[in-house]
Formats: sequence, C-alpha cells, structure tokens
Amino acid sequence: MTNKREYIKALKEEVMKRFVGNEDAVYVAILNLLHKRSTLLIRASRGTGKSTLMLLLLKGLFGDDFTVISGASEVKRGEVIGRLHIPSLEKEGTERVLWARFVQAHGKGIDEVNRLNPYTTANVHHMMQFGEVWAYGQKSMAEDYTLIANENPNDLTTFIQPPPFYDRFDVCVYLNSLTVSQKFELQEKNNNYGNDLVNSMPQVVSYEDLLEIRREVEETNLDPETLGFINVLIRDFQVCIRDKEHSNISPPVLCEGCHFTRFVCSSVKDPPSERATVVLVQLAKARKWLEGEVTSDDIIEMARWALIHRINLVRNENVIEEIDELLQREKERMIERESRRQWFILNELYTSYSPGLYRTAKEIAVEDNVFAEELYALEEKWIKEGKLRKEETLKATLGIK
Amino acid sequence: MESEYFRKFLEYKSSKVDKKKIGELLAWDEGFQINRPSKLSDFLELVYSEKMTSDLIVLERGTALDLVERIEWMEKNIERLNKKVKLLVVALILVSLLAAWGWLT
Repeated sequence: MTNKREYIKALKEEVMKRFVGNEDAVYVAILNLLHKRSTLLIRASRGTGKSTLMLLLLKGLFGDDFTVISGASEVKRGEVIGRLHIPSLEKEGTERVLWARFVQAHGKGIDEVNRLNPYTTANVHHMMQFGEVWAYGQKSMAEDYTLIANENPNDLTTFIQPPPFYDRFDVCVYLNSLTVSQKFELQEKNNNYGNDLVNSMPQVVSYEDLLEIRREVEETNLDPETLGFINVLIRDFQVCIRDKEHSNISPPVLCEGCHFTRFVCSSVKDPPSERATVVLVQLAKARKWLEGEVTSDDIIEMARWALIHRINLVRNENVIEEIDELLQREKERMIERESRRQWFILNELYTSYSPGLYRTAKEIAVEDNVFAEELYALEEKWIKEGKLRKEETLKATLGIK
Repeated sequence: MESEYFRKFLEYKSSKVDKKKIGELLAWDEGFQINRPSKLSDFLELVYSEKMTSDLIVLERGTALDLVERIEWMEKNIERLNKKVKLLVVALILVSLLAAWGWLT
C-alpha cells in the first residue's frame, strides 16, 4: 500500500470486522491515533467491549509488541516504571534502573484505569504531561507512544482519580451495549474468527508508517475558518462574564441575574482546559488528512468526545445527551454569528475606530459574550489612544469591573 | 498583543462579506438568506420587493387561489368598465352630433 490513508482505512475496516456497533466512537478513536503521543480513554459498562476495542487498536498498530497493565491487579512500580538493578548496586554500589516494558513500549494499554493506585497514576500522569518517567532519581524519556486506557465509571474504586489526570486523555469515547441484532452480529463475528476476535486481528500499520502518518497529519494545514470555528466553540464552553474560573460559587447560583444565562456557559460548571482546543485541532487535521476535508458539522461531532471528560455540567443525569444538546445549540449560535457579520465588523474596527461601527459592535456584544471579550480588548486600546472614554465602554454599560 | 492567526481569521471572514464603501459610510450585506431553508423566493417577495434573491418562485395554494379570485374579479370589472366606456363613447358621439347640428342651424 503506497497511499498511507489506505492503511488507516484498512485499520478501521479490520477493527469493525471484529467489533460491533459504536462506529462513530471507533472512528474518532482511530482519528485520535494519528497524532504524536496519542491518548485515548474508553468508558463503558462491564462487558461492553472496552478492553476488546483497546486490544484491537493496539494489535492493529503494534502487532504483539505492546504492553498492557491492569488497574484491577496490584501493580507495582517495578512493573509500570522501573526497578533497581540489584547486581550493579551490590557489586559497583551504583543505582542502575531497569526501565519497565510499559515505559519503553510504543503501544501502551491500561485496563480499568480508575482502579490504579495513586502512586502508579501519578507516574503515568507525569509521563503523559512531560513525556518522561522518574525512578530512583533517574529519568527516562518516553518516545512517541500510543496510550489506550479503559474504565467503567460506575465501578466502585478504591481511589478516585483526579480530574487533571483525565484531562491528559485526548479523547474519551463512550460505548453502548448491543441491540438484539447486534448481538447476533457479534455471535457471527465470533464464529468467523474462531471465538478469538483479538488474536485474529492483524497488524495493519507498521510503526515506521505510523510515524510517517503522524508527521503528515501534523503538517496538514487548516484554513482560518476551521481554526476559528474550533476556537470560538471551545471558548463558548469556557467563557464566563462573572469569572467562574476564579469564583467560589458555581453555576447555576453564579448565573442568577446574568444577561447571558441562555447561552452554553450557564450549563457548564467546570470549563474545559485548553487541551480541548489542541485536541480538536489535531482531530480536525487528522480528518482532513484522511477524508480530504473537514466541515463544521464534523467538528461539532468530534467535539463531543474531546469535551465529555473535561467538563462538569450543571445537569449531568445523562452527560452524552446533555453535551449533544449543548453542541446543537452551539451550531445554531454559529449561524447567528454568521448572519450578524460580527467578525467582519470586528475586523473593520481593528483597522480603524469608527463610532458608528462601534455602536453596532456594542449591540452585537450584548448578544455574544465571546465577541464582547474581544471588544473589551479593543476598548482598552482606544481608551489609551484617547478615542474613547471609560464611561462610554461596553464594560461600563454592562457594569463589569 | 494581536495574534497574526486571529487577524487572518478576521480578514478571512471579512473577505466573505459583500461590502461597499459609500463616502464615509460602510454598507454590507446582512446575509439573512443564511436562515432560509432553500433558495426559493416567495411570490409576495416578487410583488413587493425590488430585488429577488433567486430565480425560482414558490406559490402557496392559498396565495394561488387568492390570485385566481383576484384575476376573475378584475376581469369582471374590466368587462363592466368596457361596457361603460362603450356607452360613454356612444353618448359622446351623440352629444357631439347634437352640438354640431345646433351650431349649423
């Protein structure tokens, strides 16, 4: 296969030959594999295929050359990070570390990540954050890797993993249980592959090809429209005119009497980190590289998996339904923004101050808190230049300090 | 500090807007058609607007029936007015003839 896209399409095909349903989740999981230090979290109830999907993806990329650790068993530091080389210590008195296979492997799997002990979690967290691991005062750099983990969030665990740890996972996909027809499909697939779906999975992409693909995806350019769409979308989930990031009070209490309560911001208790933007850009690049284009609808669809484990919502009875509804609202909001021509107006104001246009921009800002933030920045500049008085600004009108 | 990428985004968005500079004033197309379900024009738009947004015109059954009723009413009116005009022409000719006869005698 000379076209590397064909490798990725074949990977999806081979996985779907052995895995039933949840096609959109599998697709986004595969797109997420196409960038450096890819991390994926699979969340599902017991027996819905989370470990199977993890192993199918790892086998498709690395054959048998990958390492899986299990949170359910008592994993020791020596197994996950490294252990001391005792002969060196005894004979030479030097501390030499034998790095564990998990650290060195390009393909890493963690089964039931929510059961890891805090020590192991801290080490894995550090590796995901800085690309390095530490043991006995020595450091080992982790090369490019793929880390796939899974968990059943409903399982009782000994330790609660901290939110920043989950934030390090690029995307988090949720799997559904199988319908009746899908159960038949699974039985058929099991028969076709001798009841060994995982071991029948071939390695579809070599490590060298994967690195080459990741380089190509990284070099893929996104147009300003797509980048802008991603940035505005994530900002909508972060923005708060009452500064919830630094407030002790959370929505909905914080939102009482706020002008912007009808927007997405009032439904988000803890906003997503900047990693959501980074990941969504990576996914958009991967999709463009693979399919030749990426539309705003694709971004909305992928955003669900980049946001779901990064935000805490006011209503969280059904997180997937709630996030889908918020994203649908975002879609409509983006159309409103287009019809208001607000970015064109902002561009004109960046070029030169015009009182008439500024009045129009102020009216728009009352309808859009993300646009308002950009207008505040311009107002500051105009005040310094003496073109505007503080009392005339939007901030003063809205009573914002 | 302004980001170059952000300015590129704004410029890109700006390039998509149909704008015109009239002296000091800046005019632009508001782009309301974005919310329209299709590119079809309404019949009333054809009647009351100077500028049409597309070449296809949609006519609702109610509007069409109104239109037929109005045409029938107008045709009847035209017929009635035609009769009146004919009577007035005849009356005018008679009056002209009487006036001419009176002037001659």
